[in-house]
Amino acid sequence: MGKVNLEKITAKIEEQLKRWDVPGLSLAVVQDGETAFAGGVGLRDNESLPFTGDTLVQIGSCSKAFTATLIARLATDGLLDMDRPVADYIPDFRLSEDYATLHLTIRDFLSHRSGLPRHEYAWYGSGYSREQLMYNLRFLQMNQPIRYTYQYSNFNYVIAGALVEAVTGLKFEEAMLKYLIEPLGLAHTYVYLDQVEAEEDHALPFDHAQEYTMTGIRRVDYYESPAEYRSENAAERVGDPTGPAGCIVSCAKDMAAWLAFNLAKGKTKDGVQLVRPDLMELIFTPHITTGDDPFLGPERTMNSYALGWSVMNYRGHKMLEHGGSLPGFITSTSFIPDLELGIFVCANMNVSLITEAVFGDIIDDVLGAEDGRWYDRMYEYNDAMFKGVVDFFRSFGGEPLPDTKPSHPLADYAGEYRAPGYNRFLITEKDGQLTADFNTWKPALKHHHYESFATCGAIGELPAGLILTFGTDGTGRVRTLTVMLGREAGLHPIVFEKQGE
Amino acid sequence: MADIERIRKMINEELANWDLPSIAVGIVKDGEVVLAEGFGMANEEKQLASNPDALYQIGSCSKAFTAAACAKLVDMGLLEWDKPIHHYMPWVEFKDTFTTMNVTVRDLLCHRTGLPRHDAYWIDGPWTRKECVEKLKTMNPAWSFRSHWCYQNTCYVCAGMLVETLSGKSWEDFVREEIFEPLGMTRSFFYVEDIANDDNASVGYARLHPTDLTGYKKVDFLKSDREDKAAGVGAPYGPAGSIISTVNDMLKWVQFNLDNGRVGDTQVISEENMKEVHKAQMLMSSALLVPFPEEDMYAYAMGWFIEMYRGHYRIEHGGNINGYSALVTMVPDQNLGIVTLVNFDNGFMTYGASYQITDDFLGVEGGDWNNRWREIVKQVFESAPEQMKALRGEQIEGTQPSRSLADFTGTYRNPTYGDIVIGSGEEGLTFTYNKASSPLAHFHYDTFTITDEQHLLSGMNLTFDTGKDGRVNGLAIGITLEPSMPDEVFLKV
Repeated sequence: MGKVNLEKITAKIEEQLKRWDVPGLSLAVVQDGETAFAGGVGLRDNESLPFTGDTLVQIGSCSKAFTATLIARLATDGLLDMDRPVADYIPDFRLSEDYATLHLTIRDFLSHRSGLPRHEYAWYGSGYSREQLMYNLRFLQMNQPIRYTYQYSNFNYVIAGALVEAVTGLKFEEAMLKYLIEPLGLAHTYVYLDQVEAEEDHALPFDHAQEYTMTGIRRVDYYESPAEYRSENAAERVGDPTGPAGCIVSCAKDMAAWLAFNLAKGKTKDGVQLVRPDLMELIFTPHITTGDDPFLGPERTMNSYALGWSVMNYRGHKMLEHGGSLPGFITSTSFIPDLELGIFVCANMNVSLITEAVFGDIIDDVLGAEDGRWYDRMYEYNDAMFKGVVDFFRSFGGEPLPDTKPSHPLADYAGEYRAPGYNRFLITEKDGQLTADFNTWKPALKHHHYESFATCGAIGELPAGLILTFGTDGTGRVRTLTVMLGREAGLHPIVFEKQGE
Repeated sequence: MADIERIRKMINEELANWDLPSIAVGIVKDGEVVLAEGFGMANEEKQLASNPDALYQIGSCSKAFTAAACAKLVDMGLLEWDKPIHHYMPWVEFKDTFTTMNVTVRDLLCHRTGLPRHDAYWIDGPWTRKECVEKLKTMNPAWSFRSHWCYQNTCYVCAGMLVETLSGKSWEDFVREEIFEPLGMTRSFFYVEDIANDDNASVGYARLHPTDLTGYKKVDFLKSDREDKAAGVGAPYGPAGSIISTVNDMLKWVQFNLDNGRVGDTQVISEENMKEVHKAQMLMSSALLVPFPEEDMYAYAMGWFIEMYRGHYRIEHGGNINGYSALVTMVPDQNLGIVTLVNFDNGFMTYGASYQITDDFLGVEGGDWNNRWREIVKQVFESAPEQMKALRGEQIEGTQPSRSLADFTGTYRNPTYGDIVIGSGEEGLTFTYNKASSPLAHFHYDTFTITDEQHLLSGMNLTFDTGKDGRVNGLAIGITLEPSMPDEVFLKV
């Protein structure tokens, strides 16, 4: 195995950033126990400021490995047993299925095998607090048998956060600092999303000119939950309710240290075994298969999920990897234990697979493997994925049927619609125009056909063209609003019921 | 292409090093049989040399046939992988009602019901196939449903009965008609009589003492009193391990698997469902036997183990049954299949030879697998007494039984395991379970040790319990062989 050729790698990234219309990226490479690189390529503000090893970024779901490791750290200290039901620790814990409530352990949640689907829009932009989300779990339908299939859900990590709070008596964020970030000496790593601006050297988030396209660059807002509360007073500060799934802010230098800690199987750079070796091994142990992705080809097989990490066979080597995606940031953290190689990459661009290409290219360089053409393949994949998203939501309503109209006057559709566990859908009518108001989004609606209307703007990551269908009961009144809030397999449309009648 | 002469030489040398009576080896590479040969003596008494048509028992390599039979039923539209089996066999119950209502054939075939092995009851036990499956509802789980992987033979018997229920045929007839016949496996059978009465059949051997490393003696076939060929009743545990076959037949089976269910131009079982059978279903936290640095990512498919071996996806399954061991190995990206059959109890040469052959085809030197596997076997044997000692715990000196030994005699019953009979012999108490007996040696207080080294439960302790009326009312013993579980309790009848 060769040492990573940084000159070649960074030159290639520089060239690819232009092709992908990505302002820049933060990059860390750890090899043989040393930080080979902790810096960046391109611009953190898309104007003049370069990415450096200190540039703060939001790592999104790469935080999940931090949360899983925090749980293992608490287990190391004897504060919890990872094989006991979560309900033994969290008062009032309740899922919509009794058996699941009583039996599921933190390993089931951390590995996304709980049977709980994403229910992404039950939290995303909802303004619900962490406590409210935990309460709402009892209303959210579990759509797969327990421990049967992999279903990625941020709610699983909200539960992990609640477990941390229950056994430590601390806010999740405080516990993360006390038990993990501080002992690891990660001085430029933060637990509140808004702290991305805590230091002058931070990256700004960008998207392409249009949603779900791959050209142009425009500035977007940092993601912030409406339930967050910023305060200089740490005790008053309220973090992102789903923080345990994605709240970490860090930089290439600290992420290099984090990778080194993982490669050292839970030992800090000072030689302290922070997490018991068998529990560290458990974090890296596949818990559920996730299926192979034809786009990722013969190089990546035996895909599975461990605890906060995906695990796969990459060209004959066991690789652990996790992506992160928040508006304006795309991240990947990966390491290959038998090569003693770790890579962190975070670009300040919305949903871009360039990160996957970067780490694939670096590993191939170290392996001396033939060119995997990762930049080309991932570009194609990215493009196909975007088309797939847009097509999916359009296909849900089909082509509009000609010459149809709504059965009721538009004003009859106005009202508040509720589904258990979800925030309300408010439909208003003004001057013959219906508008939806859901979580933080307020798209106008245009008539699609019969009782269906299409959104004219995005609801979170759900692109314009999302179909809302109203239902009328036997009394002739509009009673329901049905919408597909996501596109993962096995997801059911959510039915919102009209209130006050 | 590996050097077949070199492989022959390795097998001949290693057969002597392992000190086994015989091994039959088959290799298919890129659709061609490149080796199908016997080495050593299939039957020393009759001076029958091993050969590729000699019958051997394949033990748990039978499980892949049960899984393939299920795949066939899915093809036929009679079974769904993910539909609870309660739908097909409402009479099957588990101790945990949720498991009863939700367990699917996929769960049964990938060993994740939460039940530990619970093997002792059926080895030499008097139960019929249906009674074995009925015992599921009495079995104590060791883990929460689907949370852990644990090898479980009775669940395969259950899957076999599912085949019977849905096909209306015995498991044996279904496997013969739907797999053996279309594959041309003309010397593959199910009944002990088939191997016992065949002119070209091996007999099984084992070491004189369980932990010896050399020397061997002939042993009897495992035969249930319930097996009755004339009546068409197979071994109760059949779907978990009763198949008898040859290297030539098993090579056809391996090729069929490598070809994802195809034989020549005929798709016997759909590619889709064969892939389902070969796909990792339940991840294992570590290797079944020993973790090697060359291996990684252990999982169970359906009737097959999966792991990465030197970066290659490998599908394999071993089998052990009285006097026999077998191993079937496939490396799909090399289009390579290996079959090794030995007429020897727990004969790990199947692993040593198969790993070595795999390396030869991968072009890797220095694996030294036969020596490494022998070293492992040696270590396991050497550490076994210590491990059993640890399980027994510290012996307290200077104690005696609470009462006269005669008061302990009688029959003790457990819903899963049936009866243990405590008798009195010339040198104290005796222990009889199913067909095997052993003397009991006093350990401390009312705890005694099973001493016969040939006994399945050799070295294990049992403890008598006294009720409030002052009488002996039961005994407790770790008969599940699962160290994380509490002892099973047998109540005095």
